[in-house]
Amino acid sequence: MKKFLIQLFLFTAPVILYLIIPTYVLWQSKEAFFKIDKILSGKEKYLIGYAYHENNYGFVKWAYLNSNENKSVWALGSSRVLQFRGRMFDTTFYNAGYTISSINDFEPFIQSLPKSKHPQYIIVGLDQWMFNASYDNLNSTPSPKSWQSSFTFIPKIFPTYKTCYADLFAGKYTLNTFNKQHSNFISKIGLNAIVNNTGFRNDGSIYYGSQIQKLINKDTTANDFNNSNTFDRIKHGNRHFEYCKSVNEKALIKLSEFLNYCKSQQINVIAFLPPFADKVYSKMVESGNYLYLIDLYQRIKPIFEKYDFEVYDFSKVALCNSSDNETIDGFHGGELTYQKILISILDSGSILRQVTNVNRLKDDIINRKNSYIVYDN
Amino acid sequence: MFFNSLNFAIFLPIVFILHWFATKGNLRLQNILLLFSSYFFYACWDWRFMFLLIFSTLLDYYTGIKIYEANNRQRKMFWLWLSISINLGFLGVFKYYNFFAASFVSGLTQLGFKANFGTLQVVLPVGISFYTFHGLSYIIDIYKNRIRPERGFINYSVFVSFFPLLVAGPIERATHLLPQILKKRTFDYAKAIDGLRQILWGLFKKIVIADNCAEYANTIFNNSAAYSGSTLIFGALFFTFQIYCDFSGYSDIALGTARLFGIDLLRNFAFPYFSRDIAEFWRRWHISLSSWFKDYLYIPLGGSKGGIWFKVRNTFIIFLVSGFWHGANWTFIVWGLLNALYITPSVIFNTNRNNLEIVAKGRYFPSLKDFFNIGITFSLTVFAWIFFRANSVTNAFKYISKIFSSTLFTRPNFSGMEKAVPIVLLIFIFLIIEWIGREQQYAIENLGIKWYKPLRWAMYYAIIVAIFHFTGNEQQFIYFQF
Repeated sequence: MKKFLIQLFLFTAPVILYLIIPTYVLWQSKEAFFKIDKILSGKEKYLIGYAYHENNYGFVKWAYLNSNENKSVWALGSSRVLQFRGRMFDTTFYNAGYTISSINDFEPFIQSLPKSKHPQYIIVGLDQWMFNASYDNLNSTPSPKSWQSSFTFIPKIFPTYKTCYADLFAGKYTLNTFNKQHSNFISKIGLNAIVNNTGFRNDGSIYYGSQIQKLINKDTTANDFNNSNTFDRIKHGNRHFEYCKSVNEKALIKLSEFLNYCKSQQINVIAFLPPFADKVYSKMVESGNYLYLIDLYQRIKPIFEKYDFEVYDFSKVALCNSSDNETIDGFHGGELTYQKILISILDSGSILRQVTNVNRLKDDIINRKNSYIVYDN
Repeated sequence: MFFNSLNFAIFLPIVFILHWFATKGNLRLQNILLLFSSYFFYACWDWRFMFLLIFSTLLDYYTGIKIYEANNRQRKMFWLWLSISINLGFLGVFKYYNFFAASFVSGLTQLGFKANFGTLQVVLPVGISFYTFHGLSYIIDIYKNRIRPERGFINYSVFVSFFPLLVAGPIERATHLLPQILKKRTFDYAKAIDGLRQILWGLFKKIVIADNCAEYANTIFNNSAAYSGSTLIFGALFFTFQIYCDFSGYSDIALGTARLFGIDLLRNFAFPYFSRDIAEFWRRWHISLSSWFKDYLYIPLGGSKGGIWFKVRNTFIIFLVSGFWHGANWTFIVWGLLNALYITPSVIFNTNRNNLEIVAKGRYFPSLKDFFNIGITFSLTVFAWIFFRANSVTNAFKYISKIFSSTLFTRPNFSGMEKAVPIVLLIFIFLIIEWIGREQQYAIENLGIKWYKPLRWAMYYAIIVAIFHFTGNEQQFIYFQF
């Protein structure tokens, strides 16, 4: 046994040494080995941006809603609702975006929280591909407990440590990086927050940090510069841009079930189809491979009317008086775009007029910081 | 707690140290430690189903004793069927209720009736298919007078719940595992080193080959309508290596881990892709399950005794049940039936025991005939895997018809194809290592054994570097879903 232990120690010593640096990086940056619950239920300002553990965001959103006072308004959907901010509303608000990837996810997410935490209004982002059977044929429904159990405290050693070394050697960060702090925030949690100044604010909305700076500087290293990555997806029909001829009937049934559930819970739903950049939308339509987009809005509108809820079509930024110059990438508008979406919704006579002031929002746009951000952090 | 997680890397050494040091060689303490470690391991998955595991253990422990003590055949049969009914009942509810409800409703709808049985929002307990079959083999062996019941509850519980095999097998036999649990264990250096070597190889198969193949298999299968026939062949091949390396990798880690505690588990894979016919394939693939079905279903049904059609009937029943065991989806049943069709000719013509030894034993290369037969068997297996992987039978047929379309002769093209090249090269290297080591328990069992230690360690470090460098996006072990 002694011989075995000595041999084992000698053999694993280099492996353990190899593991030390990434472990330090992950621990120091709070990317892993850090329980986030206290921060979420506290009052200090933070920016939460994980580089290797995006799965944590589902837990972050769930835990925030579960541990804080009830919020009157939610934004709920994928990353394409994340630009709604608390400052756009005159009541309590939380952006629960990045928790939903399928039409099947909406109801379980709401069910995962006690009724006392349910909102009065939900702004729902219905990604177009939720109705694309080639992308999602609705083969599974998550358990309401799945958001609660999605937090990574101990990292997945092999993929994470490899990526950590790759990023270190690529110079994305150094071991000294974690000593710097952004002046507007007290707590930066996760490598994306520390390195790229990107992450989720206290109200759950996203701050795109370095991406915005790159877009302003017309830096070609910006993500999806000139929509090249999105065009590639359209060309190959993958990564949300799978080809599809018709709207998935199963998704429409699921949508109806979700709206029925919200009605029974006395939650008002205000939904919208989030925007693509105009160039991206045109390319999709011209390709002839996305025929399901053409009549998607007309197929979902009657379902909303049946439950007396609202739905809006902002499938391209022009529909909300925005432009490609205000988009973060091919299928994410900036904060300005989303403020314009909210204004368009309010100008249509939405029930959301009860929780915000459209004139104030219009004034705020005039005084905005730049083409991508309206408010300070 | 996945085998390839940091949690397990912390858990295993703690249990190992406690097992060999803290218990001071006391067998009872060792078994108590293994039991609580195993329950902790299982609870990390989902603590709610601990009660089901413990209930199943108690049930078979009790009924095993009752069967043995019964003084007539009827009483024995009563306790036997009570245990079988309850065990399979739980399995049926958790695993198959929704499938039967949905299929029944679909069938009635086809006939023009309206029905709605509702579905249960149940989570499938991890490992239920495996530990249920453990328990069943135990009580059936008692009924058949092959073993006596184990009176020590702790010892029996370790047999059912031993953590290396708890969630995905191999499906052990009481006649093989219980004696090892009951026998004093002393630390065996050679066995422990061999165990570590097998764990390393299992991690390589799972992390480097299986997880990387999974990415491409998922990309292609999830959007198969958009790809050419030639690309779809790649998808099927990627899945073929994914499922083999995933499951056999898991089994290697399980066997290697058990060996650290001085316990030998049943071998589960014996280089199935080098098989020369389908019958040989099924003697080398998921051996613990196929032998379980042979001993507890095929032979009681009459086995090979009787006429040709009797044998064929039994063969179809076994493969139908095997397909069904894998999951509540028609794709698994079709997969099972397809394999039954494959093996039927050899059953009819009595050639299913032709290739008992590993191919080209004692030689470097196979004969041309063996090479050709390996190719045919492999192709048939790949074809059947398409049904196993597809979401539905309809999608499987669409997948296959697309393969055999004119797009079969176009250049393959899928997202990330350039990055797949090193993976394909790794698969070839992997196959060469498997071929060289095909006469052993696992491919690298004796590889480098006679080399100087620095050279041997360099080989192990090369495998570790490959694991860290070529790691893919972590995927759950496929057989955990069963």
